[in-house]
Amino acid sequence: MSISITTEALGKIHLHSFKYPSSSVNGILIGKADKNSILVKDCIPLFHTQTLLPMFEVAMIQIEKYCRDNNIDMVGFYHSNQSLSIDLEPEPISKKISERLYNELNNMCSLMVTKIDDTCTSGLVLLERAGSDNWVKNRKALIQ
Amino acid sequence: MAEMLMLSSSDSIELNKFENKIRESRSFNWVLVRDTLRFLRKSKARKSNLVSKYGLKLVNEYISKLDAQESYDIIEQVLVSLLECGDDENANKLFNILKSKFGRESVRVQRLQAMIHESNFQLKDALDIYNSILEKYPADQMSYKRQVSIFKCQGNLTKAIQVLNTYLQIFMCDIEAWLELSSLHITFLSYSTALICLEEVILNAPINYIFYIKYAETLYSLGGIDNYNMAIQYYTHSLELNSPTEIDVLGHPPTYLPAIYGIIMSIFSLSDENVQIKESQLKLMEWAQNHLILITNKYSPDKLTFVKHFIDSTDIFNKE
Amino acid sequence: MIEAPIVLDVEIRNWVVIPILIVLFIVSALKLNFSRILQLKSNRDQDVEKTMQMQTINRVRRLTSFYNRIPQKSFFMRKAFLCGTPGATNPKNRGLLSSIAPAQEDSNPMNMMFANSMFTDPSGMTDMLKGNVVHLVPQITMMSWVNHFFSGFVACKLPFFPLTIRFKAFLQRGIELSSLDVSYVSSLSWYFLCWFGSEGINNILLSDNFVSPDTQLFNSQVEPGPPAQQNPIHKIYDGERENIEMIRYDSIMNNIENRFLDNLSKKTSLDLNTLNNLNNSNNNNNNNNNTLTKIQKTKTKSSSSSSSSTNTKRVLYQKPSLK
Repeated sequence: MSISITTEALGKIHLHSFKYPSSSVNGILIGKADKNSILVKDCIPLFHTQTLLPMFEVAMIQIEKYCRDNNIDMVGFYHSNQSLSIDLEPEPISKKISERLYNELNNMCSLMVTKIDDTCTSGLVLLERAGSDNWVKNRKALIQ
Repeated sequence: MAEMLMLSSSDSIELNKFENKIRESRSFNWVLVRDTLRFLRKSKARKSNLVSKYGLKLVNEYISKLDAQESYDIIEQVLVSLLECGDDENANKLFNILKSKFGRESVRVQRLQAMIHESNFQLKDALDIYNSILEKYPADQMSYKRQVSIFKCQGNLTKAIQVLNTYLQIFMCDIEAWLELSSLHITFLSYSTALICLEEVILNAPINYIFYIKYAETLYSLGGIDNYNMAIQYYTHSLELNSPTEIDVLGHPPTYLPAIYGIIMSIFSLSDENVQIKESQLKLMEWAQNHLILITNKYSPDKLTFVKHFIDSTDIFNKE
Repeated sequence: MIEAPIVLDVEIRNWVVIPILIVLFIVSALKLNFSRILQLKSNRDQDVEKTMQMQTINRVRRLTSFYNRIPQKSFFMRKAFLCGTPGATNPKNRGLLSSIAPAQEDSNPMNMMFANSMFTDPSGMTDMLKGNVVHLVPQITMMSWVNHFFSGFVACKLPFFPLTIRFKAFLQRGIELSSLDVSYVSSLSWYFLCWFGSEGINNILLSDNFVSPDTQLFNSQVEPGPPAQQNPIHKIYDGERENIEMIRYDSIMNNIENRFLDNLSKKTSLDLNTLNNLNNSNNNNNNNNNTLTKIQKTKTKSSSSSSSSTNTKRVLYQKPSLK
């Protein structure tokens, strides 16, 4: 599966996390997806405090409408932990949301913000589903 | 985040005034900067960029004009914000001033030393220093709090919760700590524990509407008929405290939107559970829907389609 | 009138002026070390217990005033935590407010004495005492030493411009000569001058570990300690426990929806005009026509009483009729 992301979306994700360096941030990725490729065209930043259900559900309903109006799909979820240590697991809520999106969308990806360095120039890591409610980092997957 | 919640609106207005004045003044106005720093210390607001940029200049060039006692407070304040901005070099310079003045024994100097360790990711050294401070002064709040943040940084959230618990056994009126504990529990999705913490926050700050919204959101996340009902009540109470009748005083969108969205969502979820919805709740729902459209119309008319779609899809009146 | 300068004996310089300086310096160095030793030994554990008690009282008081803002279940949980479950024999279940037994407090006669007096905090007392001992005792000894041995003569001459007569009392302590020029200094005054001026010198010489009095503030904690309590702590605890037990739980969340809408309708009578204006201006907007029809639709479904109203907003802010 190949994932590509536009500069605009990438910039939005990172700027969102830079704006709130001390909290966990997350948002929804939108773009085009088919069976074995995902193109992330844009993203909609959601939370930079704790993610609680009510406002998340509100956001999902509205994003759904937005996607339908603009003829675009929800293709995934991005998030960043509170602290940027390299080997931290994604927070439980992120796993939960990824799981929920996985069940509802036919093809999706879950991205996690990490340090930008030589090994990871995009600053994003793909999370892969390993059983229900369990998502692990896959460092090898390249994101263009 | 916790600090931002604590800032009262009058404080934040004053803070903006200070900030604009500083940015607008062409030459460096040291009196203004000093007053701003003083205000920031008092209100405990966090403006790292502002403090590090102007404060450093104040300390470097105008230190002789400052009152002796205050000047060291200012150095400490600037030093902390320098660390927050990652300017280790200048921070070390300031630290040496304080160290030569007060010596290694001073608790505050030790704390700063530990904070410098932290910013260099020498977390172990920092932890050791905090531990030694706590041995000598078991009532040192700062060291406890720094320890929590170190554990959080390491991703060791259970340990962070542990430390916070011991801290809260002594300082049980510390809202920020309760808030932090609640957010840690929320991270672990243990909402019912988080609720207990938030109750403590509400007891300590009974007129802050934000905490009621937070409480209601957590209740909603927990789910269940009783909790939805209770969430509606708490949302409504937060609206009582942050009244929608005072429309447009500040010229920016009202701050009670989460409460209105929350009311709609909770009542919608209630109706999903096949519960007879009370008449008063129906009225509330109706009011919330109309008010939501009103606000959207006023502040962001281009989003009206989404909001209307939202109201349509959560509508309980047409579903019957 | 020209005064002939008084020639001071060299011996005075060697045996009075310089010794006073040296002794002063040595004493302040000793004082520093001595106070540090005392400080190390002062008991800080008392602090924690004290703060904890104060915070507990604070917390309980907040609970008694704002209990109606938390759900019933949570209130009873806290009540059980603080007051214990009724009839429990296990001391663990007796609750936080019963955790301090009066007997334990009384068994210590020292505590009793302090509890009954104005100062309940014995550690605060001794701290104060220590501070006094360290600062006052050397002060008095030194002064009497200087006064006893070196009184009655001029010790040195200040090389400054002539000072006004007002400084006479300050600079010539112990010498009652009205005609003597002010720039001559007696030994006792020399001692005072050195003492006031010594801080800066000490700062440089003992810089590594010197803590001047005004900077000790920086050394101490930021938060001032809890204020001294008048009553023994277990009595306050008992009182607070009774307060909690007397509360009959009642939530302010009862019937809150109606109350909120009621108040809204009262308060908004003023705002109604602005809202209507807003509405009118938006009526030109195509979008808004949709909105209005939508609102009307929901309106007719939910309550049939308001069908005739053209302005839906007005209907909204009518007082809800309660049946």
